[in-house]
Amino acid sequence: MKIAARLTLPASMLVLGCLALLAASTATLAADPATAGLAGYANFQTLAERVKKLDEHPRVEVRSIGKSLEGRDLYVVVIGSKDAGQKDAAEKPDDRPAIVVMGNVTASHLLGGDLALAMCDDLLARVDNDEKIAALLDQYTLYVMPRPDPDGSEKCFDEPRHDVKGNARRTDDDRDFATGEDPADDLNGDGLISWMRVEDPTGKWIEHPADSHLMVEADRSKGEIGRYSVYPEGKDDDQDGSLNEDASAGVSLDQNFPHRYQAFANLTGEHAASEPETKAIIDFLYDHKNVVAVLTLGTDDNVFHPWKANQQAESQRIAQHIHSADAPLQEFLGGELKKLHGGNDCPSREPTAGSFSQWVYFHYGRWSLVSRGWWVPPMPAKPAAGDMASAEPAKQPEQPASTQPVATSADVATAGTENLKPADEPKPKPDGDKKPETTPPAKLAKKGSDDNRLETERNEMRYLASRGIATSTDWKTVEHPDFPGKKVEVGGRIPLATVVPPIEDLKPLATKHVDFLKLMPTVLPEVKLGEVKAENLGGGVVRIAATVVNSGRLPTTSRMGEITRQHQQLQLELLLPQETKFLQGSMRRGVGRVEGSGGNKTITWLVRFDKEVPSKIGMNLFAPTLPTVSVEVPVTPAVGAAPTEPAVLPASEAK
Amino acid sequence: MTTTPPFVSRFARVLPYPTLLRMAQPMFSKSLSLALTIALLTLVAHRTSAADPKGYVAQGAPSNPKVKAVWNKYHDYAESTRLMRDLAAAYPEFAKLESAGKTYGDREMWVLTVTNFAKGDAHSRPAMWIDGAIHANEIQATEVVLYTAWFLLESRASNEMVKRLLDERVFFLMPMMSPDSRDAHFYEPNTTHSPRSGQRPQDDDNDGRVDEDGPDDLDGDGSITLMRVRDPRGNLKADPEIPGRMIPVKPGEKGEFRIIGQEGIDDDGDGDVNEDGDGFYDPNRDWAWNWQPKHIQNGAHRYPFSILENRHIAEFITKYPNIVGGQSYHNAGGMILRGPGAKSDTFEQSDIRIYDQLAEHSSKILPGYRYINIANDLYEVYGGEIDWMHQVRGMFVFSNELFTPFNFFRTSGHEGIFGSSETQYLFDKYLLLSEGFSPWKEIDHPQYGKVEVGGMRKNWLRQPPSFLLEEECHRNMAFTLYHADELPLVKISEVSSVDLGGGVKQITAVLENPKICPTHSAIDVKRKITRPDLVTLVGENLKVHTALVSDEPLFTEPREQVRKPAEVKLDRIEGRGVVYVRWIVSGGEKLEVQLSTIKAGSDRKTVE
Repeated sequence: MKIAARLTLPASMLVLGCLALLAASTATLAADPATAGLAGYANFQTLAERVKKLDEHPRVEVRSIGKSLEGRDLYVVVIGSKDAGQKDAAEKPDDRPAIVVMGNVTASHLLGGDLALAMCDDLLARVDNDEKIAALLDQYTLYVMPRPDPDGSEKCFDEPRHDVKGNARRTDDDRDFATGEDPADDLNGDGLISWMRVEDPTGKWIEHPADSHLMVEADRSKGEIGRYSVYPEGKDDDQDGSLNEDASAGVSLDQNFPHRYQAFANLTGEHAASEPETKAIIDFLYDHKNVVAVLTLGTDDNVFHPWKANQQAESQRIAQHIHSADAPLQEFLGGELKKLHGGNDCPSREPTAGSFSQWVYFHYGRWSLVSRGWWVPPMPAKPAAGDMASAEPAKQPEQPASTQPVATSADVATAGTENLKPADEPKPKPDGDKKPETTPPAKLAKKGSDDNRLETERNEMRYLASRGIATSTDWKTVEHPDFPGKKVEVGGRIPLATVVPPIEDLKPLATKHVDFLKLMPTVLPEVKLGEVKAENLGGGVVRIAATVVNSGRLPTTSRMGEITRQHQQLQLELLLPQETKFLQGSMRRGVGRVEGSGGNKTITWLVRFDKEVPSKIGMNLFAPTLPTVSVEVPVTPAVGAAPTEPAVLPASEAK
Repeated sequence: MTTTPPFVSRFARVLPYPTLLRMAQPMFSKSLSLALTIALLTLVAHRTSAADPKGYVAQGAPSNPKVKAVWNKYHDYAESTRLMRDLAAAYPEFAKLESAGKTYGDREMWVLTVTNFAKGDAHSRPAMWIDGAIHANEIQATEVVLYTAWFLLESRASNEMVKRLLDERVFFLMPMMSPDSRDAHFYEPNTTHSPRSGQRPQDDDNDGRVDEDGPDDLDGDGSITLMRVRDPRGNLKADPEIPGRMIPVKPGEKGEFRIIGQEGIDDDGDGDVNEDGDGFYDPNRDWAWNWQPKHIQNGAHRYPFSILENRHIAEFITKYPNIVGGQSYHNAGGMILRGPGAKSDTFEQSDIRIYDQLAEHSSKILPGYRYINIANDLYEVYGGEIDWMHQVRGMFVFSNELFTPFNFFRTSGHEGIFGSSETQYLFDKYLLLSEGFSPWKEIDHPQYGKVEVGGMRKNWLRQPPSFLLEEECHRNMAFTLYHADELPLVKISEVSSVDLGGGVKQITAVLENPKICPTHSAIDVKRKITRPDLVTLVGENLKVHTALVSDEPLFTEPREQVRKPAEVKLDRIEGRGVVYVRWIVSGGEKLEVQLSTIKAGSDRKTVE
């Protein structure tokens, strides 16, 4: 068996490609299909070893928050203050405000998990020499969950290599009351489930005129005549007339969360949060009221494509759009990461129905940012003269690429006139979910004399070939029991080969994401008590007034955080004896949401002391998502007549 | 007869033995009652040789049950458990008691399976799920389910319809969906409305402290009522007609009282009273259909089935795909509810027509009850139990809101779910002899000084009083048994064979479902919830050439089944529907047609 590098490259590109390969590490030179594109990525065993290694650091505590269906641990790497990893830590990591870094909720997007681990390595490598990292970890706890779907991700390392969509749940994908009765098959024994084309005068498909590894639908208007039917590689295992219709693909966690959950659809599970992994994540997050924000390393980017508000729809009972009060702030957060990351051509993908990232914002009520991290940069097929830099992608390894591992429309055959039908492939859903990803055509290589169909895929293949990664194989004839007497060939694109960047790209990517986290202490809400007064009005009566000021950029919770009622309140508590009489107010007062950038609220009490009026009064300002503030205020004689003040004056909002 | 005192024989003529005994007990001293019992036993023994072996039997409840039960009282968790254990022990061939799992408070989630096990196991025949009191304060819901279990088992021997139902159907009865809170309602101070939730602690006010300040029973009457203060400028005054009741003052009129809230003190000393009691999560907003979080649907917990008890129930129901009908009992207001719970949700039109037919006689069986849709006629519910049953399991299921204000004075036109304040008080005054109301008592309140505590007790407003309880149980059971009897039930009514010559035969089978419900609801077919019905031709040396399906006997427009023609798959057989299946075969000896369904039973018939 031979894996073909992309040999259609012009000679000059080949030279550049070779240079690029030399410049890069040798790790990705593998032409072994079992590792094509995934070389160096951590399987579960490697991941577990790396996580245990991290656990040795004094700032780290590793927890398992549950088990997957197949019994793999769902690890959370807790990173915090100097002694966070010690049993006798002065302050427990759970008692401080926290940021979650979520790895690959989508099983096959291995980048997410490895990038999360690389961020842990980078943080700990730099913490002693970088004041900002030290400040971040001294003030905030990080919960890093590298691999939320360990069973699904592990399938990426299966032999034969196949497209991976869900966890280990046994599912009846075609809802025919038999489970996994007809998966795809590796017919040519090359360790890959790739594609299969059958010579067929009624078929709709032809070879791509510029790339024999790709199949395109014949364009009859241009006089093209179909020659092939195309199927995923496999045979009709259960002899029911359908080909590869039920591989029992499992449940995709990114479609199993309760926001906009879609029931009775492929990959979504029996019901919202039906999977042990989903439940463990939700329970962990609800149990950790200290979480302020979640950074997901996923493909439904909202750093380059911020969610759009829709003010008209805000009165609806079930919100579908980011709140207009939150949208500018999410855009601001994303903008900071975008600046650090560079580039402006990140492919867009709408969050799926039931996605994790939207659940974080819409149900959990926390800031939710999704960074894709990497995508294939545009790569001209023929480098223009004097444009060498842009033609040498190896020097911009941080600008790389992926597509979803799902088959693109070009790969998917529809039934020809054969009796055999191909399995249903994911199709765009009516509500617009799961639209195939697109890179804007303008961003891609200009077409030369070339046919520009499937340019996104061809760009990926071109780029990864330049990085030494094979993404497709030659067509090879096989004997096929379901197509007797017909020419059947297996080949084409290699599954999962374009999902992740070469492993050596991760380190600089991790640094950029850690640099983003370094900004958090100046961005996240920070409350202080501004003016605090305790005036003795005589007769044992004391009027207490305290102004809470938020000097952070973000409000104390997002507007959606307030709507969801999933935040523990920001409270101001007086430290007074139980028997204190309150003429107005009570011992603990909820402060409510305080806007950022100097937003403030004033709380007042009237208290009466039967005996002696104390000389000073202590108070605590606290919420799990904010550092606790304690002050003591002296009780002073009242100046002049008592002013009249409402109980709670939201100074910043009083108009 | 000569050995019997004359007064006993007079009673015995008009009343069955147990009723007589029940009546006799409070009437006489204990020893006299014992003597009477002996006398009665003699009487009964004596009468077995008489013309009517049962004595004079009142219609309705079984006259001589093996398991004695009274239906004018409420059963707590232990008593309900004992009753079900006794029934299962008395009728081992017809009842089986099992637990679907443990609750948060370590109680059992009892399911009593009632069927004639001689006719097949609990999977073999169409099943009816009947549950009660997912909101534990709705306590009579449990009684209806217990009564149904008792009635089915105790009446089977004497009632032909019950006998047939147990032969044809399987009943799964879960009287206590929230047993922890049932005991909390019985034995802790509560209102008639609490606890609706389970007993898991919950931080309702998001202050980081859990259940730190619930209501308190300050006057020690076992109920949480109201607190009022005397206030000449208050907005309420005493009702001159009904003692205890307060009515709003008219503009310009002098007031007497002001309500300051529910009975309780500031337990945690934070200056607020009763701000965080038993956790509020609603077990009936937790089901995995159209689930929404708490800011959209009040009472929702973390995610579908994040409440342990519901998870047990859902797993149990899912284990039995033959459960095709369902009934869930709640209170109050006299309603027969069907889904969907949310306006954005829909049921298939043909399924709604089935509900309409099942409910056709409901207003006769249940006077004062209205058959309505939850979303449009009551209020919107996301994540409700019966929506899950219909939309995910494909069942036909009703939820009855027990006890109607119609029952106060058997007049219609009462406002609201519990009737007007006036009718509540009048009923209390004239029918309950003022036992429903806990009179105002002055107490010293640590925060408010002198206050008065009083109001309706926890066992009145949502729950029928003793003399209406048995009727409530029986009428609702009757409605549900009608539903159970109209679940699908298939049969092969005819099989014929025609010789086509040359060793080729044409076999035709007529398959019928004479009941209201189809073998699969439309949503079941659409979502492929349970497998199609299978009509199989079996025989020795059989070669099936083709199979045809038709809706009429002449096969004018038949549908061909191309693959595996011997095993014909039918999406469903309609309610009161018929399907014709025809095979063209060669050879074949000892031919038999077999009909196998998940939800509608099975049948077989040999080809003559």
